[in-house]
Amino acid sequence: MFHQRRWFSATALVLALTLVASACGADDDASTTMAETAAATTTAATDAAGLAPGTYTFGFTAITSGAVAFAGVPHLNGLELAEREINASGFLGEGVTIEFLVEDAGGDQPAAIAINDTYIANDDVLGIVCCALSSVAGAIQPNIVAAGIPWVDHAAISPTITDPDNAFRSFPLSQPSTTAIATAAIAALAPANAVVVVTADNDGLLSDRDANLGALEAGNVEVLGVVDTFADDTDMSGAATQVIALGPEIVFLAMLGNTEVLMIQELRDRGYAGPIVGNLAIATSETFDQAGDTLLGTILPLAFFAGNSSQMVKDFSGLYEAEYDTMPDIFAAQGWQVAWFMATALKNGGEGSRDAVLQGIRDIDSMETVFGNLTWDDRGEATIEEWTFVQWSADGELVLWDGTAAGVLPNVNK
Amino acid sequence: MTLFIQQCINGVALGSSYAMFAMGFGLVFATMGILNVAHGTYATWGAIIALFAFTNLSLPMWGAIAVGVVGAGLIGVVVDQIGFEPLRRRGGGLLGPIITSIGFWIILGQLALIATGARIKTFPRSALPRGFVKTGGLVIPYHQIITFFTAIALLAVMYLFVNRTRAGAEMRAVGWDPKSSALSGVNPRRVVIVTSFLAAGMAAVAGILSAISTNNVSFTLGEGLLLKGFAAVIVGGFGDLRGAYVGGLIIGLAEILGAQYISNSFRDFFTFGLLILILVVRPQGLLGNRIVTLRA
Amino acid sequence: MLDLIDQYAVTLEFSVAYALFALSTYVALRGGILSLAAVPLAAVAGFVSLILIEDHGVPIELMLVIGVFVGIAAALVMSLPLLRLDSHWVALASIAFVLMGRVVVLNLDSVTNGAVGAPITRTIQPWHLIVVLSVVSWVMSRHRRSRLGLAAESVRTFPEVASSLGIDVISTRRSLWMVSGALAGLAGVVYANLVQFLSPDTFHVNVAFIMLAAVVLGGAHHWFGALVGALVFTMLPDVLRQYLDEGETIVNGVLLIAIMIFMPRGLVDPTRRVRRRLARLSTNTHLATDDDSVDDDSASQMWDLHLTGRTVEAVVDPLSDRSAIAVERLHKTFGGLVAVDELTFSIPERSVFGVVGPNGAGKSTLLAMISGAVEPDSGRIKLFDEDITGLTAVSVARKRVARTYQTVQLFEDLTVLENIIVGFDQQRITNFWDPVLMTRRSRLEQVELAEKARALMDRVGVIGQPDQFAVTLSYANQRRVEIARALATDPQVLLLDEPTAGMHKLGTQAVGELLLELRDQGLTLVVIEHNLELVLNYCQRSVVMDFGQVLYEGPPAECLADPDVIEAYFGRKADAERIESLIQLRQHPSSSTR
Repeated sequence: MFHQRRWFSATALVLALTLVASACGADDDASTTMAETAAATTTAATDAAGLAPGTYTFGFTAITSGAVAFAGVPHLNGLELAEREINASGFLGEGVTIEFLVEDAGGDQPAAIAINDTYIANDDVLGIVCCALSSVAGAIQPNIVAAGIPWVDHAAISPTITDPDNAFRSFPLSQPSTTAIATAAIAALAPANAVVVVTADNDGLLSDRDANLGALEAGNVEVLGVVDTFADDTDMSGAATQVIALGPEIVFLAMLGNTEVLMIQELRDRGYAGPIVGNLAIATSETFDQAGDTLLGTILPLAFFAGNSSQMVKDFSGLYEAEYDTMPDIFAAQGWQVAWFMATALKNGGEGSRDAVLQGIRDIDSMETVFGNLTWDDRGEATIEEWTFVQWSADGELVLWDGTAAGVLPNVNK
Repeated sequence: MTLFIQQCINGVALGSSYAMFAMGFGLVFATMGILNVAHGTYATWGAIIALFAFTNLSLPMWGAIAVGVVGAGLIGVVVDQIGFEPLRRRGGGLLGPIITSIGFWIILGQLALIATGARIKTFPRSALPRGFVKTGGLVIPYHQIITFFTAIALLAVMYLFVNRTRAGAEMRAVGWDPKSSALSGVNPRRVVIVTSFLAAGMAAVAGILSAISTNNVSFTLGEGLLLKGFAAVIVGGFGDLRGAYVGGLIIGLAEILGAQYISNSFRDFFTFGLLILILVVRPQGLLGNRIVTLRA
Repeated sequence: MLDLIDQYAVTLEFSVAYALFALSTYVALRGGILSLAAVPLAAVAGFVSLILIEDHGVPIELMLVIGVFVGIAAALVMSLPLLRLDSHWVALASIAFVLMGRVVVLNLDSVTNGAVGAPITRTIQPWHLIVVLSVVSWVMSRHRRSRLGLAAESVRTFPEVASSLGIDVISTRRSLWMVSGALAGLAGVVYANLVQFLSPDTFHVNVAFIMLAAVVLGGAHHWFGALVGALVFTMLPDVLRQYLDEGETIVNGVLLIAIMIFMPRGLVDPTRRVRRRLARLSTNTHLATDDDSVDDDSASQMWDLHLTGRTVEAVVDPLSDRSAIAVERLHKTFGGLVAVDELTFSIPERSVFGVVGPNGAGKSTLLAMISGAVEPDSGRIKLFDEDITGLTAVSVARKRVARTYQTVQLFEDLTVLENIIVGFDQQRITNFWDPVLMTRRSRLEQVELAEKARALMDRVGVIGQPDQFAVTLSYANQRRVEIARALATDPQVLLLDEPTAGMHKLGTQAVGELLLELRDQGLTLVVIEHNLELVLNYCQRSVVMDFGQVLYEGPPAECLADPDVIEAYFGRKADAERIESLIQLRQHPSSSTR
């Protein structure tokens, strides 16, 4: 009798949880708009013959669980939205559709290796899309290189990812933008000294820190100190106090996500009134909800922001908000972009083989995207001609920074 | 000097957050011998429920916080009754509850991810205490003051409860020896339920205050608290709520002062190194009294 | 089938790495060490392999061997603060080491490349993995019930008992740490080579928790369980991925909880069938005794003895005048309670010495202090004129003082024979490598010990099969096994705590006869007993204790006739005097040679 009760409660528990799990799994809504969207154009010569009707498959490694899910979920959202749009708009031709196989590795290296090996072994898979973490990219790299399958990185920022011949990046790295805005800020605001704050356990931000330090050195600005913080930190009071105690005239933040938002709030609350140079971490839709007017006086470089006047961005934002009930952020844009990138490569290649897709990628010299106009170099790196420098307004909108000291809201001066 | 005091204030405020979490964690550890890895998720869920109550149910802030605490407390009870109670009835070792708690940690963590859509959720800024006290060159945000005093109040209330009320005596008796206490007329099951509720509730207070201070409700909220909570319980000594409280403050101070005066990059190294040091020098913790070593 | 293997090839390779992690955790658990240290230890080895393979081109075969030594060294260092700690503390401390390790990896740029991470060229082949796994499995199986294996089992189940058998708990744990470290080192080298890219999060604290769960799920009582657990934990997410869109993580969590409720000993449990049978037969792990329970109410016995006019046989003097154990002003308080109060008496060598008294008199505390398990507050204990006050239990045991316990403390996962063989530990000559290499002396020792153990079983009169799990015996027989185990240590002094509890008359007499036999062979026996008939008939001297003090010391018959003693049992002095006069009327002391 005792045992019976345990079996019942256990079964109930398992059933309940399975129901919850499967309910959460079923998120294919039917509400895809069929509206035509501006498709990406390519300046490469397109083969007029086109693709044979059918479905063309690519393998995507998602990260919808674990600590990086805050980026991985929007990645997947953007990708799947684009997938639907590409197919609905007939971009690839009559009866031609693109399909992305999705598996969640949760950021676990062995799991990612296994998933990608399955993709590689699957003859239908024409290309690999991955990753959000550089460590995962590093782990899957050897097998992908050995197989020669085309690989497009949609979000990870380690520079060595594009080293192999068959590896490409679909979005622009932020390091050049960091240098650009740092240089512009130094030129406009002419500070005598500065402090840099960095999320020290993230490789991309470490290289952003180096970019900041490089610009500071070039501009002859004294660096009073570099303050290390960490990705999992939840309290910035100590670090902010450290920064203020150093007494800088300008602060550069090379931080991740929520920690940067917190840092800005703490700096303002504790009386730092000077200019702050941030990064895309404070460009998400939640940023203003969290930090409000403490964001005034902070400028940041952006490849993508939803308030951009470009038609492409407006359409993307509209579709995204209709589907997911929130404005897209940079991660959503990365997911959206890589899907269009792959589709373009597929169309260029003109046939359903890995070599054709590989060549099709190489044929993409430039592309109009939600990031703006991107061009690709021989290494497979995307670069953007012009970075947009923006800042938050008091009403919670991202507006342009005109590059002058006076233009920094609310007119922060030295 | 001002800088030192300022950082001490920061350390104490941060430590108060750790302390509240550690008190709940330590209570379960001391009275039931369970190392509950899922304790951090109570903090996360407390914040999630509080936010939900505030935004969707339009409760006032105090009401939302209360709902969050109670909600998390109930989750704690459910976890205990489904997961730990069957093990207790069978009479188990140390290992069983830990594994079960890992299972719940996975489940509750994943559910939190789903509930928040892996995004950071925020309170409306108007609802939060945004001011600060400025005196003598020091800046003390209101939320730090609130956190500090809440922690002390919680310590006082819990201490009185555990040591001066009958219910608290029952709790201590059950922790010491469930079978004998049952013979004395204590209902161990009821005591266990109350203890689980209170411990989870305390974690929720820590989580909610953390969420309010940073205006950030995310599915990883409790994880950082968990590891520091472990450290606090070791440093301060479990078995006594005051130990967990002191341990939390020490960890908070070590973190902030270590970063300021020793090294930023090695901050966590020193914080956890302190833990190892205490284990070597005084394994029962600064205020601890239980025997934790072998007499070899 | 080949297709299936192909599809899961990567996962299978990684499951070897995880198996090594799991085995490392398992070995630690065997000694009662709740260690999550497999991960930081593996990280050390993994990063060392990064340097050696990438910068110095060390071949993988050599690297695996180096990894073992790196793991051992790192484990020794890590164990220094942790050896004496309680289980939970070890777990928390090992988490601390993981987190500290991450900081080191982040900051030691020149070596680890910091946050950026470093690629590592894969040189390991599937055949390496097979060889490593085979060798490790061989070593594991050979040590399951080896000297180290039995010692580990004793240390894990009842560390105090292990000490009283002369097994150094700390030293055993250290050995287990080293083995655990060796396995973790292997795991680190293998894992690093398979993952081919090391970042600070490669050796993440979550892996440690998952591996612990894997070991418990697979079965923490057999090394093969660790392999099974690792395989399940590696393969299951992969398999689930095929069939579930989402929620596979949650399934893992549910699985853990379900296993702990329904199969707490895990999937691989050699004792499962036995336990099921036991559970059906009774509500606790001890079978009801097949001897009748004895009414051991000493007071009524006293009454019985005196008033029914039974002939009480006086006992002769002990065989020697020399004192085996002398206790001088021994004092111990627990909290506010005085357990032993300035106790002074002497136990003659080569005698059977009884310690009697009501419950709470301090008898067990006295025994605990003599055996070294508890340290006295003040006073002296002398063993054959040698001062042993304050010595640890292991040291006292190694001076050939053995003991049994008030409630039977047999090692539940071991058979009768294995329990007794644990007692032989200090006399064994084999080391770690003997069982692995199956040396001659290892095989000889096995046979010899089994024979000696069987002989002890017969001597003590254990009714049961040598290969039975010890806890399946009747209670009375379990007590006998415990005596046999104590005798295995070849003691000169044997302390017994209520050896006849739960036995009926015939069994009690058999124990009494055994005690006399042992005495004739030169042992000194100290017996705490409530069974006064036993004391009267078989003890040469005895002491009566109450409230931690000596009431009377001398021949048992005298003890029991003393008015103070009688008062202690019956309460009122007036009654005591009345009874005494009755005794004087009825008693006919006679002497006999024994």
